[in-house]
Amino acid sequence: MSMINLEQEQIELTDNIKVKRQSQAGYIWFQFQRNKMALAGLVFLVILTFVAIFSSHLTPYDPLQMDTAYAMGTPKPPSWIHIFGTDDLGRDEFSRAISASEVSIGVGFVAVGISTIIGILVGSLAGFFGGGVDNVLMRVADIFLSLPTFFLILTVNSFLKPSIYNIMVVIGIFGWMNTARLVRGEFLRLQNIDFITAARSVGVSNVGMILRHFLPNAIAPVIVSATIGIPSAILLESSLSFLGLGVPAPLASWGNMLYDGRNWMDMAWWMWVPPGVLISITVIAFNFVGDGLRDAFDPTQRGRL
Amino acid sequence: MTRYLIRRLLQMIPLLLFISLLSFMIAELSPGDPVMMYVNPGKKPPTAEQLQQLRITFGYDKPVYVRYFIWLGNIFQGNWGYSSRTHAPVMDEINARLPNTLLLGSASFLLTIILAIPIGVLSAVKRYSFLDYVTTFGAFVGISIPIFWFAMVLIVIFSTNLGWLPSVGMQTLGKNLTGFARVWDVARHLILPTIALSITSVGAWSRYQRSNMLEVLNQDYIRTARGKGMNERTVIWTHAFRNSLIPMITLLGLSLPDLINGAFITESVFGWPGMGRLGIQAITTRDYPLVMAVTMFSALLVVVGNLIADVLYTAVDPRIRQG
Repeated sequence: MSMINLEQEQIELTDNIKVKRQSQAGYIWFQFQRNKMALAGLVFLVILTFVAIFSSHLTPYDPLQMDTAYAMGTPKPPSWIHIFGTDDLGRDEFSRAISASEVSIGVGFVAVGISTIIGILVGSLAGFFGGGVDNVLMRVADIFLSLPTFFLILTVNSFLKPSIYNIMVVIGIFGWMNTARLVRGEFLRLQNIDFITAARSVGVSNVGMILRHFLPNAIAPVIVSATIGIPSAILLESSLSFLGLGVPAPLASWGNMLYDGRNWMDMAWWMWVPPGVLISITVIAFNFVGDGLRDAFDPTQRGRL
Repeated sequence: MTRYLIRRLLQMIPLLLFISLLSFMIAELSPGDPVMMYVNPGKKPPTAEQLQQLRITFGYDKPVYVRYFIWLGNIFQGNWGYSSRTHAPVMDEINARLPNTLLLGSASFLLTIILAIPIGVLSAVKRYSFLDYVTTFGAFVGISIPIFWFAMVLIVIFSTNLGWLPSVGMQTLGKNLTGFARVWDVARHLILPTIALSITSVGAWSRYQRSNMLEVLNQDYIRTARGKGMNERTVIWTHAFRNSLIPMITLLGLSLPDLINGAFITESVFGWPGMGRLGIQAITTRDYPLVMAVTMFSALLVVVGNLIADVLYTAVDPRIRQG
């Protein structure tokens, strides 16, 4: 996908038909914004990302600050001073939800960043060299795909010191297989295309081939799979935290807010409904955007919902 | 067909060996001295000599690779070691829990098929209708909502507030029901966990069925059927529907890992006495022999499930059989 020319040109053809010529990026954006659900998802995610980045300035209270005198051992319902109520320790749930967005979004992005890098690496090697390398790497991917990933992540996590960075790395390590398969597939498709043969014949090095000629043409499915990978990572993190094996205690993530809320399930809905709704909306938004991107990138999918 | 089956079974061997190596490594890499779990923490700490003695007794003085093969040999003889928490044989614990997980898994599987396939077919046939938009949105919600949160919502609505269904366990405690009453009791306990576990797969499967159906409806033979004046119902249900089901078999294999991952969470929310809950308990109590066994068995379920899906696929689609 070339980003060179973003402006649209009007070309006058001989028989006076006006044809809009667009750059690839412009065309993809045109296709993407036609999908209104994807557009809505994107708007939500942009806002959420800003909230996450500036979360420390947006919280009305310190999310870790306890007010035991106010709570007196039981969660207090929403009121004008605490719009999402407080938990049993008197911590402001609204501030916790805001600061948790930083953790949840952060884990999602970094974990997928890691798995995408591994996936691109494995997929490039397999697709570029083929043969034995390909065989071995793809068998490893098959094996990883049949592993009980969730349980392994839980286990590995329980060995490590509870930290948000470990969670990012562990989720990343177990999530690269799809990207690797996609990249490999694109590489295999490209192998037989003329410009690749041309680049080979002028003696471009292997590294140059991969970086300059193969990867830029294989990046579209990677972007889609990363976009769809982020919500999975967010769900994984929240599941881990929900089981008490994820983001460590005083720090708030949507998952461990649910973990806290679980003990007050019957009497304090405000402890567990908002974080659950936030996770759901965020994940839906990412999935809408991913779906929109897939359709926008894929010419055969155009016009489909 | 037999040759294909044999080849597939042989391919499973390296996979299972790798998984066994991995779960052995889990126990190997786990923090802490493995012999300490045989030491009674209430008594005074053992001397270095006693510890060494324990190490020799349990074979921890041997090199890692030797221990791996000893462990593997034991597994082949059905000896999976002993739980460090209850000291019961690991196999007994798994045997007690695995059927419950399979029950929950099959129930969820059934519910998914019953809901997702008709939804997918309908939204494909009535493409771009109001119904299609509603089910599409619903499917996105289904795949996006966290299972455990959905489970909490279900519990609060149907158990706490309406009081229709039990929310914890598999049977009513204290009542030793027998016969039909017992089946009914288990079925009532099964409803909420099954719905919670199915939400993701209903979303995913209905989308998949929709695109399969659309694909088939675009084929020439469907146009032929319509062209010769066949009524629409026969075209859809006799001609299109049956072929649209073939790719679903692949999904059966592909969605097994998700089903098992989901079972770990669902079982621990609902206190369902299955392998998933056993596994989570094993992790939190650092019961590594049990963790290893749960890892192996979950992987085995996925591998066997994939094998069944592949064999079914071959049986249904003659084009694959030749290759």
